[in-house]
Amino acid sequence: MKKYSYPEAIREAVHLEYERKAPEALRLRVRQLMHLPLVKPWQFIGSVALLLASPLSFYLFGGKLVYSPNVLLLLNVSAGAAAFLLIFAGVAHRYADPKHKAELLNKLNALRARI
Amino acid sequence: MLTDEQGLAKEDFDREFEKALDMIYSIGLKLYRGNEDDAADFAQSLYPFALRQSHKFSGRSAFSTWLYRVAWNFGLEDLRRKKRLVTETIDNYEIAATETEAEFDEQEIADLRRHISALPDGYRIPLIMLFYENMGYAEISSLTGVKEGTLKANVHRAKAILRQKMRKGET
Repeated sequence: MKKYSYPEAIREAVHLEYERKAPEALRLRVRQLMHLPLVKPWQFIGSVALLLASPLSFYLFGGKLVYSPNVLLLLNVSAGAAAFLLIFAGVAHRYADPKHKAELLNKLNALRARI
Repeated sequence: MLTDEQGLAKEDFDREFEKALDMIYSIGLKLYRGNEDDAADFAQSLYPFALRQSHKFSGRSAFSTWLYRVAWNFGLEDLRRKKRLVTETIDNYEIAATETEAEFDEQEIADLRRHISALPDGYRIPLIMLFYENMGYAEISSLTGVKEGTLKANVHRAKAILRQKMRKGET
């Protein structure tokens, strides 16, 4: 018994094929994203500048001031953290783009195939 | 943090986005041929993108309507980047005026479902937008960036391919 016209049949087929509820895992992932603080570019640049301020002062005034070992350690840690943040932000920014993400996945798959 | 000067406050945006997640996931499935991982990635990447765009939401339509359009735009742009969406332009394509419209039963719909999934994106997506999403050619054209004439031709071809496959009874 034929009961669906052409457009009705396409609607029904598309509905059966593609209409599904979002899985709970996706809901959780999106909720996690919602709780991540979103930093504006100027805030990010500001925090990196603050982190760089101490090592920069060491570079500029190192000859005139005397630093204790603890301060020197703090300066090193802050310079390392600033460098890490910059690299991390650069990589994250690049692979946030779906095109670059797809390229990276292709390269990883090709590498996996070669291994 | 998102400022609340324009658009929707962050808390309202999050609540509305979560309510629309089933719709977004379905759009992802339609764009990425039912691939659940791709659809989930799509929904996840849409969140920061839509949040950045949310200052453009003027409140003249329902938020879900705005988000629906943003989601299609975002997904189609991704397909364009991956060069999966056919965007060649064909002008003055004549659509056959007298098409014999077939009728289908339940079993044939199961076959049709499979055949629709196998269509190239350039045919499959306009077909879905036209028949399932009830969009007009002008709206599909503005979303996909494909000329209306090309869209009509692609939908016509998609229907012809489907008809042919159904006639052959391909599995």
